Amino acid sequence: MGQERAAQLANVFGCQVGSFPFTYLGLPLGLTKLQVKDYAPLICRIERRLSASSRFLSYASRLQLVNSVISSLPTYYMCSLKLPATVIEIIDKHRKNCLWRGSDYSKKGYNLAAWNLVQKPKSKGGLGVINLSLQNEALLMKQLDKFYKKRTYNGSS
Amino acid sequence: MKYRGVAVCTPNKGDTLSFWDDLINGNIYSSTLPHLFHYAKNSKSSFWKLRTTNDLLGCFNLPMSRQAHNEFLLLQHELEQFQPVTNDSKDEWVFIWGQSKYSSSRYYQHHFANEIPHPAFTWMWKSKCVPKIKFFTWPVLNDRLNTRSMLKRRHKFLEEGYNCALCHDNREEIIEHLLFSCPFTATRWFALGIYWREDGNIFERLHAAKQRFPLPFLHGSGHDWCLVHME
Repeated sequence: MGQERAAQLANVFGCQVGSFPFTYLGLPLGLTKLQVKDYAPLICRIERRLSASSRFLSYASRLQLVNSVISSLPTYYMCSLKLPATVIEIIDKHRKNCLWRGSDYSKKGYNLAAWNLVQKPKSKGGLGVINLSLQNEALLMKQLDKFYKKRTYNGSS
Repeated sequence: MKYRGVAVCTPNKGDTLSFWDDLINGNIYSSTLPHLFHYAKNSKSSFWKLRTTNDLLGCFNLPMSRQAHNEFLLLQHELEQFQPVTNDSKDEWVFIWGQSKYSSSRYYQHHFANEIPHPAFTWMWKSKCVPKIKFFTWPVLNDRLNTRSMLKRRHKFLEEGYNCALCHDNREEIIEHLLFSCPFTATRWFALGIYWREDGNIFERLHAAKQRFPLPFLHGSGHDWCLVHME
């Protein structure tokens, strides 16, 4: 369909000509597999949360910030989409920076502990920071479970 | 598939589960009987099919190797032993953590189920001191505290040397020295009435001190660690 025709139809229906991917119910919706740049709103939201205020917090309060604010931002995305490894890496980079250096990128310093150790639950000797790829898997498995359950219910009734 | 790793089936009729790939009675047959699996004609056949067939040998490509044959006899024995509760009822699916309902948090926790850390971590997170001190204790228990010896381990050059800043004994500032054997720290511990063992690693010391100290432990000590940390 040509552009003129599209514009004409849009005029008839009184709407605008859009393009894929667009945001539908809070998630990016596209015709093809989503690219890393389609997750930009998510990453922007995380970056916005890492405001300068976290510079004045202690380690423990920054851990709290990471655990309860930043780690839970991608949850809605993860319930229905498999986050690409690059996106998880970017989010991890922000979380590491926030935890060890307080979102101040110019500040030098090293991470006190390996990220794998930090990502263990608190009862297992870690800091309870959520492992995003594992969490993603766990949440997506829910969809698979629903699918199987539904099939058996239909079979029985 | 990962879903199959966490869902356990108690087969009754056995027609909803794949014999080779699903977790049945604690094992996945394609990995416990690898040689025999190699000879299977239909790698997707259900449990029910294999159990009710008259010609079990006909399900495999012949001839098979000696190892595979041994596994075949084992399988034949196991299938004869198998007694379903009721023949016609549906198979029961239970997740590996013991619930029939899927829960993503249980899946997440299951990943870490094999790790058994020292109980000191639980004491520490459950203690009543402020989070700041808990966070200080965490690198102590993991040997990740930012001491001068840590800087040395990371090959960072320090002009004033790597010795303890609190005493003049020319001892390197490692965690054991800084928190237990340094004279400055020892006076603080003495004031609190906590006595540490001379030897052993940090967990053994903590355990011994916890048994000896009458009050709920890791409550006051947290504050003292903070005190040491500040000065």
